[in-house]
Amino acid sequence: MSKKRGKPPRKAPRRPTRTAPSRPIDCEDAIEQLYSYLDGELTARDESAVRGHLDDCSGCFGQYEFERAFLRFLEARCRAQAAPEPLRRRIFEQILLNRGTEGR
Amino acid sequence: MSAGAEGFVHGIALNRSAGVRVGAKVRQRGPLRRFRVGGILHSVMSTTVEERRRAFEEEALPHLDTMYRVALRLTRDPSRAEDLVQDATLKALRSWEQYRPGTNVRAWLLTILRNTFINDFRREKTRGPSVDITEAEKFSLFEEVGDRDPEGRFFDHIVDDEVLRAIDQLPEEFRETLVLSDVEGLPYQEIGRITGVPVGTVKSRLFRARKALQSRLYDYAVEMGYIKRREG
Repeated sequence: MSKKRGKPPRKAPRRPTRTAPSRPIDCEDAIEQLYSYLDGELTARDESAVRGHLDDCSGCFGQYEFERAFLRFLEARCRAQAAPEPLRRRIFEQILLNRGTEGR
Repeated sequence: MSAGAEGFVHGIALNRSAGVRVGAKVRQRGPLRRFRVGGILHSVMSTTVEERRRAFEEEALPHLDTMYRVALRLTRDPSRAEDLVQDATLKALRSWEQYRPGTNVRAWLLTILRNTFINDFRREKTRGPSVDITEAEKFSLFEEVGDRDPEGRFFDHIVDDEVLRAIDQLPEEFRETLVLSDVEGLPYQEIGRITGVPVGTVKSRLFRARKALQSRLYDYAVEMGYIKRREG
């Protein structure tokens, strides 16, 4: 099934529009926020702080790329399953039957 | 409005106060209000079961795949997943008036799916035990393989079934959170609303679920010889 998803694929962190002034963070802070960063769940300010760190730190950037690869792999492996045709048919029949005989 | 302001919407009973079955079609009292737009006769009473059904089909049914995938991870059994989706869809159709147009229909449907699972499907033991994931939190797959396989190439060898099996071994609240986020792409807040927990809990469940999954997949990959375990 090639259904349109409700949401764009793995939420790529937005490009910085204007660089919000963010204080530098260390590796520990960056790694702690890595998943939230990958999930696009950080505030603009925190996001730019993490991005700033990833730009400067090859070690953390490597981990970022690895985790991103993992999340993409996960999504690709799990989205193949679609509602089976017989189920789809049953549900449509159910909807038609339900018309006029509302309630039970 | 002639059909009674409360208890009825579009001629369908919403609650029991009016002395009719919920969901029962109510005979309209009073005249149909008609008006003409562009030479076509419109009727305000035309918003009936038929239109309701169409709205349901257009808005809810595009989320059927998502509902099925989530149901699969909750029940861990394809035939029960189908039953769950069917029951949840019927419930959603019957309470369609409670859905507010323009709000998040996917979250609404998944909440119904989840409640249906908890109330009607969870009681019997779902097959397969869950693993203890407390140890896995400390595991870092990147530290384990990052220097040898920085792009995670060994993932390519792992097939769909193996990943799904590994997810299904996670405790329920972890696999549920993981599938909503990493497979269906829902934001933390929406997941929190559906599962009834604060965003911080969603975040920590997700972290632990991902770590646990990495740990299991790594063990599997080592077992299959896709990658060697780190020395010492």
